[in-house]
Amino acid sequence: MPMNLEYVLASYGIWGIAFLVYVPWVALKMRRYRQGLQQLKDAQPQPTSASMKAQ
Amino acid sequence: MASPALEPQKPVIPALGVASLLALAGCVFWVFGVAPTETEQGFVQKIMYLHVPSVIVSYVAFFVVFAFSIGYLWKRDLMFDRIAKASAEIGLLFCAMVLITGAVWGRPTWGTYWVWDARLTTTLLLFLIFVGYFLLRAATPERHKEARLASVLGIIGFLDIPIIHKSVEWWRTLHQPSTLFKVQQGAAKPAMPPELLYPLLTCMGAMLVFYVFLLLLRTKTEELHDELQEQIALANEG
Repeated sequence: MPMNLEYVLASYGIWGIAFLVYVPWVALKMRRYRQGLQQLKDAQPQPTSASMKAQ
Repeated sequence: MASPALEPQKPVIPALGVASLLALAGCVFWVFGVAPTETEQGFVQKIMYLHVPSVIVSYVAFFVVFAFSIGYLWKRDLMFDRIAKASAEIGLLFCAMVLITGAVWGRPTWGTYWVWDARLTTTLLLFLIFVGYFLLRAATPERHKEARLASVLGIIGFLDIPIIHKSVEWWRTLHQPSTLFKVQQGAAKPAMPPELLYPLLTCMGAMLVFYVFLLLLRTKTEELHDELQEQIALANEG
């Protein structure tokens, strides 16, 4: 076994875990914001044919 | 009409994600499977391939903060601020990785995780400045005021980088001088043999691709966040 292997494993492990957490966290935030925008869009009153004629 | 933020995603971000994953996996293979073990430090020198590219990416990320903060103060366009904010977050994460991997590397080589050495202390200062940058943002409710104050701090924070870079020359430090190149008789020459230098340069390239992927992903998230806040404000007014 190479000498000081534990330090190398700790460095690469911490780096890998940090980004394995960060990237899905950003992707999750992105999905939540998209869903929020979609919900707001769906909640807006849709223009009816009568209101379109009135315009 | 569909909201611009809800338009279908362009495939650039997922493609860059896959490319950076493949590039980073290739680097791990090169570093552990092909690159020779350095004779002086031994196996622990492999941390260099993680530590030095993380340093470079954090410098690039904070330079982007600097440039886009100037852009915001000049144009007052929130798109500049979103990019600066996204880059600051990524830069802060890479800066944390620099401090952690540096400390882990320091234990077997210097015999300690931390010393109040000029390079280490100025790097910690950079990290703390950008922690302050996010605290300032969180404490400022008005969006343009937040962007203005953060831009000023982002510009000031970047000015620490030349000090970090020059710290090993200005003060007597435990940290080694420039890893990549050394100046000999007025000309810059590689500070290490090519079999160690090439994998290091490749790791830097792979990590820069990863940074671009993260920047695009994070900027898009900021864009959606701002639009959501705007829509909520409009719905409350109506």
